Amino acid sequence: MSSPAGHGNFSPQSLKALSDIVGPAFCRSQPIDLELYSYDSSPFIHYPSVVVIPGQVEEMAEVVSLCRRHGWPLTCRGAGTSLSGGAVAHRGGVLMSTTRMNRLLEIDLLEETALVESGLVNLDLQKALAPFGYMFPPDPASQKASTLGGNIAENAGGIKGVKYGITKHHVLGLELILDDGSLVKTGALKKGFEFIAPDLTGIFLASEGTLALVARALLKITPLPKSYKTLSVVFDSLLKSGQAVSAIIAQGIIPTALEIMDRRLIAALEDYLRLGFPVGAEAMLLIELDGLGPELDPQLAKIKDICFRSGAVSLEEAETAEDREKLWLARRSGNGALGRIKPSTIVQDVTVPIVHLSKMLSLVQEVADRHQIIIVQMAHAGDGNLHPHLLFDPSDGQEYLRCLKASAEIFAAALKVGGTITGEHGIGLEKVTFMTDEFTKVELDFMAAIKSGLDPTGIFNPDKVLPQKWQAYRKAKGS
Amino acid sequence: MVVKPKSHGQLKIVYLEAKSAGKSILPCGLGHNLNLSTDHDRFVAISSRGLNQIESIEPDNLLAEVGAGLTLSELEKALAPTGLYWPITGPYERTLGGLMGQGLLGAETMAKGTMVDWILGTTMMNPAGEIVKSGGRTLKNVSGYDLTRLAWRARGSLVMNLSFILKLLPKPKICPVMEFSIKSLKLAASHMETIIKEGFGVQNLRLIGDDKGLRICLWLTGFVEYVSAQEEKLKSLLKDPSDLFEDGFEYFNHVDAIFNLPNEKIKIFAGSRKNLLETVRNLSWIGDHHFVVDLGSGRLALISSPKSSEDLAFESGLVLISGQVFQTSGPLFRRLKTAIDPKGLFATL
Repeated sequence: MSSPAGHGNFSPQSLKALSDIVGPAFCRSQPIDLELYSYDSSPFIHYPSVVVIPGQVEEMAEVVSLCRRHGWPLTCRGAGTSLSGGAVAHRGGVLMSTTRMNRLLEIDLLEETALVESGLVNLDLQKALAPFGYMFPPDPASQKASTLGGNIAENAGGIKGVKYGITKHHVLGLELILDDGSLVKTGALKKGFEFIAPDLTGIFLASEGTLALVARALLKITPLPKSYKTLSVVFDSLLKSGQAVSAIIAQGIIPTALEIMDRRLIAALEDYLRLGFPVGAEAMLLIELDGLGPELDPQLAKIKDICFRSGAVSLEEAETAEDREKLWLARRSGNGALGRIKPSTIVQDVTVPIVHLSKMLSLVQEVADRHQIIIVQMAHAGDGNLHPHLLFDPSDGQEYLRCLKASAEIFAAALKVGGTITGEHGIGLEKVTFMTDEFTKVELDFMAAIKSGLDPTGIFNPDKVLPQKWQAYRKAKGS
Repeated sequence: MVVKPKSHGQLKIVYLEAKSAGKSILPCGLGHNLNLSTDHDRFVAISSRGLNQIESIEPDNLLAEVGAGLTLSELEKALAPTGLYWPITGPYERTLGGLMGQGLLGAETMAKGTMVDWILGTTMMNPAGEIVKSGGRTLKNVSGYDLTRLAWRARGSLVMNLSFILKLLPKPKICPVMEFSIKSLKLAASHMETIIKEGFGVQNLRLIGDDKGLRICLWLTGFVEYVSAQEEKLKSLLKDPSDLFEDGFEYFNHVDAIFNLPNEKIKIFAGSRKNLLETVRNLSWIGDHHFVVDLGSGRLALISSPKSSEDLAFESGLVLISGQVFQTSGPLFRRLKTAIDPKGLFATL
């Protein structure tokens, strides 16, 4: 879980070279600084040798260039909300925080785009867009803190994914810093020329900062819906709630959100927020529709019918905007509320074809029973994305090991039904050894060729995404 | 030479033969973008047309798995009984693989994004002749690099698509196109700007100038109640429509031919909405030549237009994209190409 601090300290000359680029105040190497940047939202702890916080794209580029020249590992970090260890400096070296690169450069209502720097926080963009009647649809649970650069690097999803898709569906172009410090533009940032050249934006989405750094992004923005309908539906079994979700999708209804919460989560949230949730219910389904008022009522009626036919015990419609906000506040507070049960959590995010959702929910429960651990289940059920929360006490090493074994079984079960080991959290360090379960040698070789072509010395976020055998870092000098 | 293998096995044989003969491979669909008159000895064009199988249509999963050689019209026919559709409207008789390499935007781009946004997974052949899969049958998947998007607008220079897993949607209940006659280009530009900024949620928005006059075309899709509400709002802005077409798919497919199969009489320009509308405001049009502005995809088609109109487009910041050589000289593409195809086995035209 942890690695020794002082992963190769940088010489005074090296620190000065970095300090000359970003300024002394933003080049930090004191133990307390390294401690602060040694972790993200995963259980992994790895210490950088130095932290730099550039304020301009040119500074980012110069740091990259310097790292390449010296073979220093470089991990780029937004807000550090990665749940898979994507934002920790596994091999030490330079950790670049983008938190000063947080400018919203332009909102263009005619083009329906926003030009942003990579360190802008997702929610800050939403707040800036709302007065104009627009939103940026990807809304990860971490949106209060997570940066758009991080969202792009991980291809973040969120609650609204069922209807609006995920980050990659809303990125029109990128300004990237390659390993030699050069800046290149992709997609619509090429302003018309993108039609007569390959669009390479896609390969950088979900690449977890291992191929290049995102400096700026041109994002597609979407008009805010005119109205909402939100339902909370109680079931006496988790299985039935999953069956209701599959039935809704099979009927061709595409809600904005379809979220499942299990018995333990309902109880934890009620204990935490006192919202009047039905403690004792086995499962609750949160369903939201959005659009123009007239189109919502017929869909809502169909959904209610499906829920009751699937065994819903009770159903409640949010009457006011406040009621609706409360429900979503509860859903977004899930991770925090679980701290009342156990101090630490491993959050998985296997994703399966929607027809296998119920089966997968049951399988996860069986895994929990078999390993005698607590797994709390919540899911972006509408897109088959499960978030089993495996709870453990860090002082109990055996329990942690059981959680790791349980995670491996959950991955295997998802792959068996045609799913994937990660729907939106990324591979990071956590799942890197499982890549050989999901991909063939040929496929990993192909990915490694891309990695070594764009980052031949392996400076960018080493040890992430590709298993060790496929990493290019053996060529790097290290720090 | 153009060959059409019908299986992965045949494909492999063709690949090995071409390689041993020292020829490059040019992945293609039906070859609409190929000019085989030049350099034809240099490469073997491998058409995906033979790989036109429908592996599965899964209504409960809202997806279909099909060969890259399937055409849009074949896909539409296969999906019709299910009530589902793939929300990409374009040239019906082109293959999915070919359209992927070309980078088809689709007539619904304004609301639905591009073709690649509706592909969940793909099987492809890499320049080493190996089969590589990416993505899969789930709506979300961030496992490994997103190789699915490598083929997008790459004209077969990086990978050859063999099959796709497509994300489907319920076919909209109604999908009308409303045409509104407009008196002047300046007024048209102003209305189009308003329609976008007011968030009408149209699938596409076009301005057409031809023998029938000048008119704004709006495509609405969805539930009856939704479309009716939008129609009322539009009428209050633009008065009663001059024409109404029930089937937007058919309507846009017809007009799309202009953009997807340009000839020497048609000049296609691309650029931002701002630049397109600036061009519209400054055009002098008296009906003697035709044009189409597609705000969804950011393109302008000038048909048999005078040089002055083309000059105006350039002055407004638009880029001429028809008849242009596909640009593969950028540093990023070069590095990626060298990495995955060091011997240049896949042709770059």
